[in-house]
Amino acid sequence: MADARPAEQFASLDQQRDVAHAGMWVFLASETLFFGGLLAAYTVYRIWYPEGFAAASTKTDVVLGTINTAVLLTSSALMGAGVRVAEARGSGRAVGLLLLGTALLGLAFLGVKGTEYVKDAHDHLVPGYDFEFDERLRRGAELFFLLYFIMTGIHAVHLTVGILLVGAFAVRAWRGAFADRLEPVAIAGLYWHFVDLVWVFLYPLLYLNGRAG
Amino acid sequence: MSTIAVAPGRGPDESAIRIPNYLNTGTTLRSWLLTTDHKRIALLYFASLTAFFFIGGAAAVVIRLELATPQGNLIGSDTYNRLFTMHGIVMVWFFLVPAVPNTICNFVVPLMLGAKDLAFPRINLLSWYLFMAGGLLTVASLVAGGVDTGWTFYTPLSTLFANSYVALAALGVIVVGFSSIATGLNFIVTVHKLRAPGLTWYRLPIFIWSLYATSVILVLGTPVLTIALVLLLVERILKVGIFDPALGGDPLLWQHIFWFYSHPAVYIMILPGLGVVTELVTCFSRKRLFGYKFVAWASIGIAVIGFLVWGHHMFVSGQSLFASLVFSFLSYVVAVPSAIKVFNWTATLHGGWIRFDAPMLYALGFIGLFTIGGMTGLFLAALAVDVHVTDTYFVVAHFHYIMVGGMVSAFFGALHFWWPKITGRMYPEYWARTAAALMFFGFNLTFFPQFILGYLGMPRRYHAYPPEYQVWHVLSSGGAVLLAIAYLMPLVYLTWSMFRGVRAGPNPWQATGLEWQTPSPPPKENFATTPVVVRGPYDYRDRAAHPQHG
Amino acid sequence: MSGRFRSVWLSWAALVALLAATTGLAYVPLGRAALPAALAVASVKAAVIVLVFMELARATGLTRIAAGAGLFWLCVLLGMPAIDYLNRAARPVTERTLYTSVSPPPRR
Ligand SMILES: [Cu+2]
Repeated sequence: MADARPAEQFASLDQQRDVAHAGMWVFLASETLFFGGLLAAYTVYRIWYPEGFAAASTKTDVVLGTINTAVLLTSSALMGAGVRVAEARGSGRAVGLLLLGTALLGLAFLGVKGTEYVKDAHDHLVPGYDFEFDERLRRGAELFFLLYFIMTGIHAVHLTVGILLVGAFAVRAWRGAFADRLEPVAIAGLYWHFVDLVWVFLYPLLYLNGRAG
Repeated sequence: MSTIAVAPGRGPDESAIRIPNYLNTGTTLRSWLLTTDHKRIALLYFASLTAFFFIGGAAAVVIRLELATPQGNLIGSDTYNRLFTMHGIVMVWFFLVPAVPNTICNFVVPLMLGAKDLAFPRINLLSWYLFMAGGLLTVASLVAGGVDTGWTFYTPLSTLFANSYVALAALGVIVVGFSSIATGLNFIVTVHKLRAPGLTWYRLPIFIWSLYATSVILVLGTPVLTIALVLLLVERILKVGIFDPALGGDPLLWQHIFWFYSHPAVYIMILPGLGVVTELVTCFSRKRLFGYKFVAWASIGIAVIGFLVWGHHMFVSGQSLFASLVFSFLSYVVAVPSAIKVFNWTATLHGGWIRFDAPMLYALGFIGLFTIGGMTGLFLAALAVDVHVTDTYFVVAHFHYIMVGGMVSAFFGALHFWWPKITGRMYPEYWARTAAALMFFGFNLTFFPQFILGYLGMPRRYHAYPPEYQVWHVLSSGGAVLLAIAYLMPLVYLTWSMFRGVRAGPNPWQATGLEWQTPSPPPKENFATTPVVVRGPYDYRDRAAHPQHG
Repeated sequence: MSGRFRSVWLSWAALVALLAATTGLAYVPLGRAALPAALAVASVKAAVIVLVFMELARATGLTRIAAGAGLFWLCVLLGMPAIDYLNRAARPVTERTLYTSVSPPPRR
């Protein structure tokens, strides 16, 4: 379109796109350290309570956790496809559908996660509210579940933001809003993939520890 | 430094009267509160930071008054705890951390880069609103009754025992952290992507390198503080045990993640100062910077190594001895890049044609006080010495030499140096020199006795003390009065100069930076045409006969 | 256009295969090697996501710096406290193994 002009602080649209990408990457580096604080807590308490952590980890629902991991990985693939269609100047409707699929899979993830939380509460695994565990391993297990809830909770908050963002972009893409400006889709994609990336590490740390007995 | 096309030089007295500049294009309140112009946002920050500086300063005044006598006869211990906590929180997060980045840098960085604005002007404005929101939460906690944990929020005191408004203050610090991250992100992207044609990395002023290093810490350190405070709030509000030893947690984990941010935060506070001083030393000695690349990379070195030393705050806390040894060693290593800078400033001054204008007085004061602060930091990095002086006034004196003697001096130096650019008017030189001298004298009188107090064993954070310490405390309190006067003076004469000062013209210091090649005050879009840079910085040639380094 | 998508679908297939692998590995008694194995698989998955989906492989300059800095600082944040906790003389007293192996029982 002819009316595509950069914002006043930029010399060109290329520069503007470049800057938007760079900004998102710097933000994600910051986010890495945000989750890093939680991972540091996990690391030191796992060093202190290896048995309690292993015992507690086996109480999580590995089936639902694995399904959820697959859901999130698939959503990332759809997002990646959506970005590539947009980059190839493909149809806005295709981009919109792919982003819609991405957001719906994100919602599915949250649904499964909610089911898990209900199950955890039912199994007396909520520290500070209702927590029962083998006394010898209780302290490590309680710390594990505390971190489990905080880590998955903060991840879910990030995912919710992603769902809103990608959902809104799906509608706009369907209406053809990104025909001449592609970078918003790619940047939303970066954020989505990052949230996926966090889960890739949370999954083995929270669900798989101690499974071999 | 560069060849650029700007409006031809006008006489100092006729310029800036009817020429449109960033101040007179749009004068409604709305045009200020919704501005995305980095220069106006800088002024919004100036106003807010001044208010916070005097809130934090008022707390310090009461503290020093109480300490003038050995008995606790002015305020009780509980009030005293709340005062020094509020002094720390306000001064660290609402003055020192944003002091130079959000005010001076916000104003001059796009000008120095030859850019029209920062990369994300709306995020810049958002950062100010976040800053104000965090400030209001913190002030609300102060009004409600204050916080008594110290600015470090140590657990389990902060999570289990403190009956004060910890949650509110912690929330305020979390929110102001988002402002920090937004600021750092904006500067990093701007420095990478918005430099004028020809402005390569090694043609950037050291001020930009320092700010870049600062921004790296802001972006990578602050989120760790955020998550630490989130964990603190979870433990305090939901009554679960993350740091509580009775529930299997470790209070030292708080200290680890808190200091992961808060030691580098010291460099957030001092690195911009190191940049300011480099600009001042070169300009007022009319010399090229000695060893440009060393000074530039020393900034980055400080930002990286500064993240590896935080355990020196935990030598007596129960941290493992091996970890203490590692942290002690690395704390010595981080002193090297700082020493490089001091050495290179000194070498730059050598043989220079030095002028003692007010900004230069502040810069020279900075070099002396920063060196003392840094050297005493090495005492504290040594395990055995640290055990003797931990939590004494020696530590208090050490970090005030860095932050107040160093950073606040640099802030005032920068403020005077760029004042003509910001307002278009000169400050009164006589009063400015007087204030600078008084600040130096008052500062040393306030804080040097505290080294002695600490060495003699006076612990920090007590409102009453044995009478044998009184003489040093009286000296310190007397110095604080002088310091307070020295801080109030600029408020008066700078305000006066905004209306009555002599017109400055574009480049009153004959400085080489790009920011001096556009009118003062600058037009809204900064430059009439984008400058093209063909030379390095600090191209001072007044003493062409003198052998040049660099 | 299908060529552009091949990398996406191939990556997706690889990620799901790696997920199956790590889940299966968790039930193999690897002892001390279990955690490194799980983290190695997660790192490969992360590399696929970052290099292909986030297109880091094609990126330049600041993007690479941001990614590298995030990774380096994360290692510092996890590693330095680990140095401390692995070398503490005093450990918490409730974990059964610690009574018998590392530290003496509590004196409370
Ligand atoms: Cu420190």
